[in-house]
Formats: sequence, structure tokens, C-alpha cells
Amino acid sequence: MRIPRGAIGPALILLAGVGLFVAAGRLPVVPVPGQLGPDFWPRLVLIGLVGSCVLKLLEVARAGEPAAESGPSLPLAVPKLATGMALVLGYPALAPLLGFPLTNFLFLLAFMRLVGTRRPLLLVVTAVLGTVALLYVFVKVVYLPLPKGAGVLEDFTIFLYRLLRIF
Amino acid sequence: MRNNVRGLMVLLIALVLVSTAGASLAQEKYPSRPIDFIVTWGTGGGADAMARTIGQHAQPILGVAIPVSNAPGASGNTGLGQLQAAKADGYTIATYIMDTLATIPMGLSKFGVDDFEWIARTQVADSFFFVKSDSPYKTIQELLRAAKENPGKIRVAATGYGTVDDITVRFFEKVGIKLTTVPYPKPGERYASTLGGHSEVLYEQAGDILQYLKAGQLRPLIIFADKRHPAFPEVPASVELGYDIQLPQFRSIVAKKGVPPERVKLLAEAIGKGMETPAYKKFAEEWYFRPDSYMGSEQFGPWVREQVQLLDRYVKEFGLKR
Amino acid sequence: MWETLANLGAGLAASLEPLNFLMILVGLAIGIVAGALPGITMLNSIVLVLPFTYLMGIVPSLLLMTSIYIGGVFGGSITGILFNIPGDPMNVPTTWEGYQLNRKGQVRPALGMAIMASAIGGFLSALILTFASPPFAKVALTFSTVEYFAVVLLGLASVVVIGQVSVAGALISLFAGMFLGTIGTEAQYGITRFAFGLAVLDTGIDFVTVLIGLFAIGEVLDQLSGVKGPGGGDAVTPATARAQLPSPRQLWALRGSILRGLGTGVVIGAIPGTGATVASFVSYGLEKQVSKHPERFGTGVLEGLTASETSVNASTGGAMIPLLTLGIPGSGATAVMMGAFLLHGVQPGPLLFSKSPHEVYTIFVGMLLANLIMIVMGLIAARCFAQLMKVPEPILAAFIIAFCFLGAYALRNDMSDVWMTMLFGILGFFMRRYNLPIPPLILGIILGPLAEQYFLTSMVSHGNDVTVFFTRPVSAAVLLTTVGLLVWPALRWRFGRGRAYEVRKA
Repeated sequence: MRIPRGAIGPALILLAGVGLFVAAGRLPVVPVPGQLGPDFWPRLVLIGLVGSCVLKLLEVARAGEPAAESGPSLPLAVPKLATGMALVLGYPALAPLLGFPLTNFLFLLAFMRLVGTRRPLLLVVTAVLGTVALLYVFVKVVYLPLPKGAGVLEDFTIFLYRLLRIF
Repeated sequence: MRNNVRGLMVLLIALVLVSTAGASLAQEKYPSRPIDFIVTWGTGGGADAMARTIGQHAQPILGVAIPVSNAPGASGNTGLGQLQAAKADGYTIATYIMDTLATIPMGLSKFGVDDFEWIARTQVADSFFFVKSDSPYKTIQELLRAAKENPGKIRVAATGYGTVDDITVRFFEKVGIKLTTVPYPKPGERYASTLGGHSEVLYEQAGDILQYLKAGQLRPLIIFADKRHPAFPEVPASVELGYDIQLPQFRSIVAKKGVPPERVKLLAEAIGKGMETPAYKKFAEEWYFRPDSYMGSEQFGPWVREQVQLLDRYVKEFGLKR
Repeated sequence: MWETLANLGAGLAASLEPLNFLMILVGLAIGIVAGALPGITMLNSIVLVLPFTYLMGIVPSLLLMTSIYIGGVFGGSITGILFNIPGDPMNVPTTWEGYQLNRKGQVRPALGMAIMASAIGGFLSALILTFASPPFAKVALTFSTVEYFAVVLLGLASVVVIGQVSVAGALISLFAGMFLGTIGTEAQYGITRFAFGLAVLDTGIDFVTVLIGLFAIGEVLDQLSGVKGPGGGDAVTPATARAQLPSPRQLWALRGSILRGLGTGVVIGAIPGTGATVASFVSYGLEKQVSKHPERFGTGVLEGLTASETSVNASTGGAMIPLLTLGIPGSGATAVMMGAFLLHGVQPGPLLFSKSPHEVYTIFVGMLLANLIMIVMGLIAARCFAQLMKVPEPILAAFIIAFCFLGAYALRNDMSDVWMTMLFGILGFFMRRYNLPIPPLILGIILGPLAEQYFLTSMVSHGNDVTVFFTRPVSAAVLLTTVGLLVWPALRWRFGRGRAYEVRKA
């Protein structure tokens, strides 16, 4: 018997729910006699989660294979999507190292290129102007302490801020 | 067109090199750029008011801006994590209050006393038990008698379990008076619960609930201190009644361990001067802070260590930690 | 009465002083823009202007903040209707109907109705605030965590009945959200739950990161994946996206929706912790239940949009009641305003009305004015944001993500929130692909922690006696409504063969 595709997701969530339910029992409970502990509520919620997964599985089973079409049916541009996701994660990963100004510049450049802007000049000008504008609004005007970077790059960010008269 | 990109990279590298040279020159004067001030609690609370008020008054003395940012969470430990992630150069400071200190003996804090430079203690405020003005309990004795007769029936609105509030409640349990701690993490909900009669007692500092005192909606029964407060001469002190418990709220300013001592001293002095201004003094009086609240870096560090030992003793004695 | 009118007159004069009036305009502009920008929320902007209020007196400060609040809760509906990316959580229900109307070519009445409903809801709630605050506050104080819990439960239930592809899917999403809400430091014991040693999880998951991740970044990734999602493709052209205000006749036809939205908004707004988001979900859910044609909800129905948008702005007046009369802030925005009061040495609370009537009435009149001016500002803003459609897609997409970064970072100035946003963006993509509804997850993460706290506190206060939820009358009434909300569609489904669920699937 083949497993319907729509059953995989709920089944995985169900397993995770059971695992977490067990994990909730190992919480370091501070003894407050006669009161519900910090594990009570999560367990209640996890029972709900597991229950609704069972419900979903029943629904899928009853509907049978053809109707259980919850999987991706539309074609995907996988490489483009994967690069996009990598950029979205690389953005916060690099910010503490390179500092926000440099990271933001590189991110804007790369993401605009990925989505479709081809002209280098347009890319660079938009990324530079965009970064400077964001810096003025968020660092100069509203004092958001954005990451400055590590080591020598922190000095660079501070230098850049001085250059732009932000500090 | 590719050359544009390459040229830009060269420019960036050049900028990095120039900036390092520039930065080493800039090291000489402190402070020469804005000092980030992390408030480890949300907007609208006591720590926030302290930081923003002191920041405002210390700004002209230091000559640089002191932008305040809030990083609430985990009894203040979230913001302290940010402080520890920054450089120990005196350009990042944070608030530190009693509630955060209580997480150290409870084993809920990632940072110990030795991870910080204790710049200055800025506020000390005594805690009270308050009841609604039409409460049947006229004195603390009546309240405690009622609690003895009906163990656990008197509900005390507190910030949470294992907090200073809870430790005080547990102290009474040790001497045979069982009260029930009801945790309300948000101050507003805590006050509403007592005002609406959903909890009999409120544990709080007087300044935080000033408006209810003045409006005659709440009244104090006991102050947890060794002597009475001049503003509340009729309210008995815990120590005078024989209950040796006093855990005053304190608020202070800290930096990461390793900030050069002369910078710590400079900051402590600027804060001290900021607290001398008439505007700040008025603020402090309205919030019923102790007049001897200010403590510079030399005395403050040792004082904090004493407080931790005291809390640690209570936590062990009352079995608050497994 | 005469005293009130005299105070109001003085308030009107004061709020027309140049600085004060300017603050209303600036506040509305900031609020609408911040609310509309994906990533930057109303709350972000209200926190970020706080330092500027040092420089002003208490009256202009509060006018600035209330105007941001009023504009901010509305602003998100513009981007919701135009781009299917609601700027703030409270605009999610508006988006369900608004974006569908847009796809049907009715973007102009959709925007116009959103503006008008917001203004009416806000204005009437400000009137209630002005004339009925003290009695309202007295009633609010009799509510304890028992009643709060009942209301939160109603909010959670409302999202389940709001027409989904599958109820089981909605429940999975809801409980998953509620579970995510338990991650991090627990409020009562202070212990860390389910962080598994990961520093990013220690501090818990802020619902704003989930919202902007799932909606904004998820949408960008979905567009990026090559094939337009089921919602994209046929959005309007900039030239046609000019808001068209409804005629008085149209408004009169929708008076029921407006009044229901107003009632839900003011009452729920006044309850601590819940505010605009719960108000908009509950009023949408109620609207669907009382409607004669619930099966059409989700396909672009003006009633749904009107009720939710009215209640969103009606909640602003409601939320100001406990702040001003009791000194108790019930929502994020009012907590920041509380901070502004304290910084200026004014304690909001029982003495405010007698000690500072001038300030209070200026704020009242300011709020009334702001809601009127918002009609004009809303029209302008809708036009400006429609122009964004002319911006090339790559630039728009990259900047949306940059704004999400900044908005998430500004929550607590912490990178962990940015990480969360980006990770939820990726989750949002997969949820779209696998047809898992997103709103229940967001409501779960917002209301889950509140439900837990109110439930546990009620248990501690009442000796672990669960019956208290049914013996206290207000709580019992709310729970009855909740049960009705859950059972009614099931009954209808049985007799009407589930048309309500089929339509959204198509």
C-alpha cells in the first residue's frame, strides 16, 4: 500500500508532538506545592496538536489518494529558490561579522541580481543609495544600534558612520 | 561594467584600512561617540524610566548622546546577553535591577556577578504590602492573623515564582503564616488584580503605584525595611515587628567586565552628577527612593556580592530551587 | 456635562495649536507608513519615536503617539489589499476580503471602505472614551484573569471557524503556533522551555517575527520560486488603485457590520493583553456567523472587511480607557505611552482626570481629530503605496526583506529576532506550498502565551477549581459564545453540505 503524500507532513508533526510531550516531562520544575507546573500548558497544547494531526490523517485517508493533493503541484524554480533562501539566511548570519552597512549593501546587490536586475550600475547605485538611506533613517534619526561588525570591520563601520556624519 | 564592481571592492578595502588608522587615533578621547544604553526591561516600567531619565541628565555631562534601547526578556537576562556580546569598551551599558540579581541564586542566569563592571547604583526603593483601601484588614497584624486562621486564602499578587516577591511570601510561610503567591508578570495586571479585588495583597514599591496611593485606592500595611519610611511614618517596618526580611528593589547601571577602570569611573561620576540635578532629585523624591541611593563603582560591587549571598541563603532555606 | 463640554472646547483649542496639530499630522503619516511597510510595525515606530518625545511637552508627545497608533493599526490594510502582505497582524482579516476584492477588480471600493471603516470605528471609540471612560473602567476592573482567559479562548476559536480549506489543517496550524508560543523563558517560574540549548530560542519567539516572516518574506520567496502563487499575477495597475470612499447609502447598508465591529473593538481593546488583533479576528468571525451568506466570506465580501477594519480602529479608543483611567496599559502601544507619561512626570491613572483635565481632554479631542484627518491621509497614502507597484520587482523584493530585517531587529535590538524572521519566512513558503493556513499559527503564537498565563493565574487564585470559568457570569457568557461559534458552522455544515469550506478551496 502506498502512503498518500498528504499524510507525510501531519505524520511528521505528530511524531514531533509526541517527542516534545516527553521532553516536557523533563523540565526543571521549581517546586511550588499544590500548583500546576510549567509543563502543564505545553502538554495540553501538544495533546491538541497530536489530536489535530490524527484528524488530518483520517481526513487524508478518507479522501483517498487523488483528493489528498496537498503537495506542491506547481513547477518550481529550485536553484533560484534555494539561492534566495540562502541569501535570506546569509543576511542575519553575516551582519554581526561584517556590520549592517556592508552586509545590507551586499544583500541588496545579490538579491536584486537574483530576482532579475541585470545592469551593474543600477545594481550598485540602488544598493549604495538604499543602504545610506536606511542608515540615515534607522541609525541617525531613530538610534537603532544595528550590528557594527567584528574586529577591524567594526572600526570600518564606525569610520563609515563618522564619514556619513551619523556619529 | 564589471570594472565598476571591482573598483568598488578596492574602494571598500581602502576604506577599511583608512578607518583602522582613524579608529586608533580616535581611541584617545572617551567618550567620542554615542553610548548605547540597553534597558533590560520593557518600555513604561521602572527600569525604563530610570534609564531614560538618567540618560537625559547624564547626556550633557558626558557630551555624547545616550540612545536607550529596550531588550526585555528572561528577567533582564536577554538584554544582558547583548551587553556581553558587545565590546568591553564602555560604549555599551545596561540596566541591572534586583529582580535580575535574584535569578543568579535560582540558577536561571547565564551571567554571574563577576561578569560585570558595577558602575553605579542609582536607586533603592523599599517594598511594601499594599491592600485595597476598603479591605477588611486595617493593620498588618489583622492580615497575618487572618492568614494564620485560613492558610493560603490570602493571595499576594507578585511578579512570579522564585522572585524577590515570592521569597518574601515564603519567609512568612517559614514563620507559620501561609500566603499564596499569585504570579502576574505584567505590572499593570498585577495592580488591576488588587484594585479589582482579585488578590488581597500587592507586593510593590511605593513609587510604582503612587497614583493609587494618592487617589486613596490602595494603602500600605508594612514596609520591608529596618526602619519606617519618613513619607509613611504610620506604616510599621518588618524588622521592628520581628520579621527579619528586607529585600529592597535596587536599580543600577552596569557594563561588561573588562571596561578600563578610568572609563568606569568617568561614567559613574557622570551618572552621579546627573543625579544631582534638581529635575532628577524631584523625580527621585516622587518615586520614594532612598536618599542614599547613589553608590559609585568602589562600594557598589561589594554591596551586590553581599546581596547575592543573602538571596542565596533564602533560596536554599526556603527550598525554592531543586 | 457643561464642564465636560468646556473641557472639550479647551481641548479643541489646544489641539489646534501649531505644534500639537503638526504632531497629529506627523503621527498619522508615520503610523500609516510604518503600518503599511511590511516588516516595520506600528509598535516599532511608536517605540522608535519615544526618544523624540523628551524634547516636547506631554501633550504633543501623547498626540504624536496616539496618532501613530491610530494611523498604524489602519496602515497595514493598504499593503494587505494591494499586495496581499498585511503590514500588521490586526490587518490579516481585512486582507482576506480586501485582496480578493482587489483581484475581482474592486480595489477602489475596498481601499475606500477600509479607510472609512477605520475612521468611523476610531472616531466612535474616541467618543466613547471621552464620555464613558470612568464607568467603563469600573466594569473592566471587575474582570479578572478568568474573564481574560474566556476572551482569549474566543479569539482562538474564531480563527478555526473562519473558513479554511480544512478544519484539521487550521487546528494543526493553531496548535503549532500555541506550542511555539511556549518556547523560551516562561513567565511564572522563569525557567526556559524547549530551547534545546539554542541561544536564539532562549528569549522566546516574538509574534512579530512570525508575522513578518510568514507573510512578507514567505510571499517574496513564493514569488521568487518561479511560478506565481495562486494569489499573484492579476493584481491591479497603479492607475486604477485610487481609493473610492463609500457613499452614505453604502455605509448605511453596512451599519450592522460597523456597529458589531465597534462593539467588539471597544470591549476587546479595553481588555489587557488582547487589543486590536483579537478584536479584528473575533469581529470577522462573528460577522461571518451572523451573515446571511457566510459561504461567500473569503471571496471578497465588504461586510467582512468593514467589520474587521472598524473593530481594529475601535480598539484604539478601548485600549486608551484602562491606560488613562487606571494607569494600566493593556497593549504594547499603550505600554509605550505609559512610558512617555512617566518620563514627563505625569502618572496616568485615577488622578489624571482631576489633576490634568487639560491634558486629558486635549488627547481626547486630538484622537477625534486624528480619526477625521485619517480619511484624507488614508486616501493619499493609498495612492502613494499604489505607486510602489511601478517600482521594479527586484528592488521591491530586496527592500521588503531589508525592512523585515530592520523591523525584526528593532523589536529588542537582538539578532535572534532577525534569525527567527528569516526562518519563518522559509516556513511561510512551505506552508503556502502545502496549503497550511497561516493566520491560525499567528493567532496561536499571540494568544497561546496569554491563554496559558491567564489560565494558570486563575487556577492559582481559585484553588485549582476549573468550574470557576463557568460560575462567573461574564466568563460563562463569553464561553457560551465561543461554543456557539464552534458548533453553529458544524450544524450548518451538516445541513448545507459544507459550502463554506468548498468555496475557499476553489
